[in-house]
Amino acid sequence: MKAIALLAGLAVTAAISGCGFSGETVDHVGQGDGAGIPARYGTVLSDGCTPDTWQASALASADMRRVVQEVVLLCATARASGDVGPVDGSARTQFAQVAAGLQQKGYKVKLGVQFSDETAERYDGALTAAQLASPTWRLEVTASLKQLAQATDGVELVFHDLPPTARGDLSAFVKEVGAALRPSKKVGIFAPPSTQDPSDVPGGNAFDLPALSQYIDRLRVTTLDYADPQSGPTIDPGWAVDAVRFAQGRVGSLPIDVAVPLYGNDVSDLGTRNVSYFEALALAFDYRVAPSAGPTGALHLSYSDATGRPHDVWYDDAQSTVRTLRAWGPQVIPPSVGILYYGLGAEDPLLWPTLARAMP
Amino acid sequence: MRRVSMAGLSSACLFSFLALTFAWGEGRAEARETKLELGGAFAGFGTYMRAMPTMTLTAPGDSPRSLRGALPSTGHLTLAGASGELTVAVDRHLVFPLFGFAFSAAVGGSPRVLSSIDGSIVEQRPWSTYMGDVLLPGVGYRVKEQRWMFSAVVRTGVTYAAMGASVASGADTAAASSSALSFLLRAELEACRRLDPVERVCFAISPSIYQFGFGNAVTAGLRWEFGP
Repeated sequence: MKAIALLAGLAVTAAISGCGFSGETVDHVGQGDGAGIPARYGTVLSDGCTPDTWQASALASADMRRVVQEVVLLCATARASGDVGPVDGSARTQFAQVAAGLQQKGYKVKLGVQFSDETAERYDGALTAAQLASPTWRLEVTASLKQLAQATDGVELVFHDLPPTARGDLSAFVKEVGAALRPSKKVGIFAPPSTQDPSDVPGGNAFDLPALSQYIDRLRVTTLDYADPQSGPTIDPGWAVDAVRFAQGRVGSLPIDVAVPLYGNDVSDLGTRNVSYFEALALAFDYRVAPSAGPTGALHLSYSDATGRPHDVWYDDAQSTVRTLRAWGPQVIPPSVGILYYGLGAEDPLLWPTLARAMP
Repeated sequence: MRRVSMAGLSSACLFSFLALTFAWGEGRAEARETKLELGGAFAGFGTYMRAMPTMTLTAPGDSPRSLRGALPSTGHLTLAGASGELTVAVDRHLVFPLFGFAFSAAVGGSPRVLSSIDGSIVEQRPWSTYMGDVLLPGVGYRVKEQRWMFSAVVRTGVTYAAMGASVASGADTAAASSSALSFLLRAELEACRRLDPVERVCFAISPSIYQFGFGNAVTAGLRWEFGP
């Protein structure tokens, strides 16, 4: 009888042990390195020559001025003719006024230069590589760039999908731009987020980072579109750490930025479309779906459009972006590494006040 | 009836002696004549841990990143489990817990805890925690009053705790493990009522003096003991 009672007691204990269940979520990300977000040099990229009213309002806010010290206006396009647009006088005057206004607010202003066709949408790496191979084209672009950059504190060169064969010509071009603009103007480049050599990302092998580091003042590691072309978050914090470390190993003490996407992606079989935070909220509302947090904290929702086509949307809000930044404590990414906030205007508007409060 | 004495026993044959003595159905003895007698206990218990330890995460080999590092404490946790142990009593009052094992696992709700290691987001799942104790020797004192017995013991041990975790990699996660090891020093207080000459049922409460930190846990439960 006692043995039966003993066995019953042990069975009851065994039955209840292991019956734990999950409750609410507690966020301790980054607490091992101290509370808050390390103070880092902040740059925000605005896609265009003139910030719209929403972007201008954010740039004028005290919160953003606390977080961001530099603005990149992704405005210029290097053309096949060797011109760098905008070429119209009125457009250049407008751009100079915008740059001056931002400088008055305390920002450094950089001119972002894309190497795309005139639509500013199509990135043909092979075409750009052919242009870079032409010393004449390089000289003309450099001269045009020098003139356009007068209103700014420097230029940022943004290349897409360059083939490995462009490696030498790219270094030659950056050297020529650096020689023409420095030291009065700063020169930076956007480099793909390689984590190994040979590169594991498209276009990465075209960048001879040790050589390029001699001719530039800052390297921006474009840790964007992590999941592309698949559905997934736009950034994985651990992956970004690996990309930054790889770049640091190649460029030594050159200042580096790690990019944080402010936009989200809507992925379907048609491709990937960038969406803003508010677009994602509208999709959730219209299609009556509740966003859920993915493993990194990025928000995710799925819906089928009016034609029945399935879509996956991944985007960040202030909380998930802050979590990413907190995961990059000073022991993980040195405080000397800056942050490039990519895509001004697409963010959760609470991001800047949240960041301002979280920073020391 | 088996009567035993320390006289003539060498330490080398103590374990053999204890094994021969551990015939609990025959272990009935008159307390006044007992010099050294073996007993045992089974228990079902609950444990409240004030703060789970800082655990070490080890990512699996198929994880995109090779990670290893310390995770933050997930806070308090309640566990339930069972244990078994051997004790030896010397005369009427001295008692020496020998060896035992305890196993417990989380019960009730506990939060999903997000943290990070080397930039990667890590999720800890305290509700999947299990804990194993290897109970090592201690010393105690007991008093008997008719059918009642009261005892206080201090004993040592080693505690191993493990908790499920995962490492984020974009939209996916890689399962990982986290664990911690600690020296155990705890007091055991119990009140027992004798059921027959060799069996008793006890209520025991055991505050940990040290278990992943000072004063970090308390265990309470019912024990079924057999022995003198």
